[in-house]
Amino acid sequence: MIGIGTKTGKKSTIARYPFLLEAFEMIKDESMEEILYSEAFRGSRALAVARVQSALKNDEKQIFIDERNCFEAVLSFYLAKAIVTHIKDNFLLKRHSIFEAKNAYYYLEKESEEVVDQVAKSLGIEREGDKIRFVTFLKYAPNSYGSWKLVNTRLSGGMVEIDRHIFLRIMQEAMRERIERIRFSVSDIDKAIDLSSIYAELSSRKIAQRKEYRIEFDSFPPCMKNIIAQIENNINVSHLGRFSLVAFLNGIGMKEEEIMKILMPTPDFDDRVARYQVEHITGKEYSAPSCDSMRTYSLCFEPDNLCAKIKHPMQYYEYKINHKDHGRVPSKEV
Amino acid sequence: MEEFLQKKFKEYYSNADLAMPRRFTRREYGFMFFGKSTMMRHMSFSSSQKIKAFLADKAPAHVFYSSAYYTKPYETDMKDKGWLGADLIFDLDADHLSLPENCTYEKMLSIVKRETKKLVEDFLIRDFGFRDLELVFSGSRGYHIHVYDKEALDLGSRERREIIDYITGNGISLDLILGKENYAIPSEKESGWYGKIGRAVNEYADKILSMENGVEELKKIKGIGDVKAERIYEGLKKLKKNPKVVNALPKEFIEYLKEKLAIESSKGEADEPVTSDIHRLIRFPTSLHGKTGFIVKSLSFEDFDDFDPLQDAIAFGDELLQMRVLKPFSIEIKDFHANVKEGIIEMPEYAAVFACARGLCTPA
Repeated sequence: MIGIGTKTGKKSTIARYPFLLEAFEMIKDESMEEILYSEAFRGSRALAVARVQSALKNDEKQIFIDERNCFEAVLSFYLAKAIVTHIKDNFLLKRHSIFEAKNAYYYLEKESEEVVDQVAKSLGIEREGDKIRFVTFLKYAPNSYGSWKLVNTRLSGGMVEIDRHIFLRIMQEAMRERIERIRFSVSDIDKAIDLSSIYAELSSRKIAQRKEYRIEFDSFPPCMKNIIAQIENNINVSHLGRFSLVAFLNGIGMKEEEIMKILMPTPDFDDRVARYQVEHITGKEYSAPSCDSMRTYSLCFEPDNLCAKIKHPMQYYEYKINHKDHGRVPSKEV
Repeated sequence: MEEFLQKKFKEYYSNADLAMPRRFTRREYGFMFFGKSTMMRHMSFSSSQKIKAFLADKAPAHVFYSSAYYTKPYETDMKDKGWLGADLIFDLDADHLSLPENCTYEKMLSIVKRETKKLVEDFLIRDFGFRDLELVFSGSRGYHIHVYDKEALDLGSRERREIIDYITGNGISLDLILGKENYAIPSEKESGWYGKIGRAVNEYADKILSMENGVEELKKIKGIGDVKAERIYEGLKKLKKNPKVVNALPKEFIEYLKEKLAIESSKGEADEPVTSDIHRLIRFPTSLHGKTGFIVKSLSFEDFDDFDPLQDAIAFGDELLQMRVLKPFSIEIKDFHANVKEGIIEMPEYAAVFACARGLCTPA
């Protein structure tokens, strides 16, 4: 067992590295029922969602951890891990482990050498003075160019000379691997925690990642198609309907100007007000409501077979455009 | 001819003291037979008796086993085999070395030997710190090195490629090692390529300075005339005291240093695909090489210097055999040295097997 807690006596140090066994010890005896539903853990649950959101947005803001909130911090890490495990998306899994590993890396930068070595040891990495085994270096080097290429290192007797920066970077990679490997399942987590904003963000990121980017109206979910049709037919659309559409269009990467063009035909179209609304929604990065919420707002319209498989309108679009690519039959050369 | 070889190989395998590879039941085996060009693969054996019996019965021309260990070595699909790790293998073969023109067999063997020593001593032991190595004569024109160190066994293909790149100097950044604009020759004592380059440049300086006509030697470098050669000569004198003196030397010399001197003289040799392949089949030590009849022989480091395959890897006896020569050839194996012309000739069994395996003669 690692000795961070016992040696420094600080739980806040452990909480910065929640993936370590010691950190898990802090929360393992809590009741899952309480964690998921009790008011006392509302903060942890919110922080868990924020952690996953930050991971998706590549948002490197750090959680401030002190003696008072270290329990909440560790718990939120495991709840976030449970969310990621529940969603079962490889892109999310990778993003999340990169994000958490980077987070830990920033903390490590400020730690004493003693703490650095203890965290390293618990990851299975030993540093001997300013050297590590070359196999460790090869395993965790983030790339193989320049100073990360073995041929450009100082190698002797199987040991590679490293400075602090390189060592921490090696550790970041080891932490990423450790975090990715953790599987933490909590049943009914989707009922206890609203995951719709995560689904929306995830789809949005995956759509934006596509090499060939264009908006494909054919691939919109029936609910969004219906709102657009209403606008085109000069039927008044509720504020919630417009909000959902704008958030959806923003989510799939449409520019403000283009969104404005779609809203134009509404009878009560006021360029100034509409622009304000659009900018407000896009600027704040609101996400479109989940399918559950769309049903509650009576915005769900003629759900099809695909609708039965998804939880968020964004997922519908993402699935459709990806499916289109894969389903295309390559032309045969004769 | 093939029947003759197979008969002789059978005799060998019936009496041979075969050295079983480590964890031999976890390995895949592959065989090639006389007169056939395909390989029989994905074989596995549960006991050493079974391997011996198989070899004595079938007498294959070539015998291989996998560098990898598998849970199910007999599966035909790689993904079903259950990879558990693999020995780290280096293959040094004359075919992959740049040899001088009209290189004799002896010269070739000594070059391969020199390169093998360099690979083992300078790279595998000094730099990588490997301790559990086996050196094997390939049975033909080179050597194989098997590394069994525990930490090497888990390495993936990418990591193994990094090792081979380290050895061959591939991807080296002289900007990092020598400096980008402000050059400095690294100290000889530094680790890795830093020290190698430091030693190579200092050795070069010593060589030039010890020559009677060192300046003339320098003039052989492209773009170096009388004046520049003098300047370089004076610079090399100061090099050990001041590693930054290179900055004051003509840029043609710095180019020469980077292109020729730094890497060429220190790099090691080994065939890249062999090392990076984690499913490689490699020759079974103590088996015979079907194209020479020589023993694929494991060697101790003490014996390596004196090892002469033409004396020490011979599997067959001295009994004289009548052979029909198919095309004239010259041969120097063990005690049999001859320029052989077409016709019927008597030669010792070991030479007859070699010449047959080369397709030069057939039993009369």
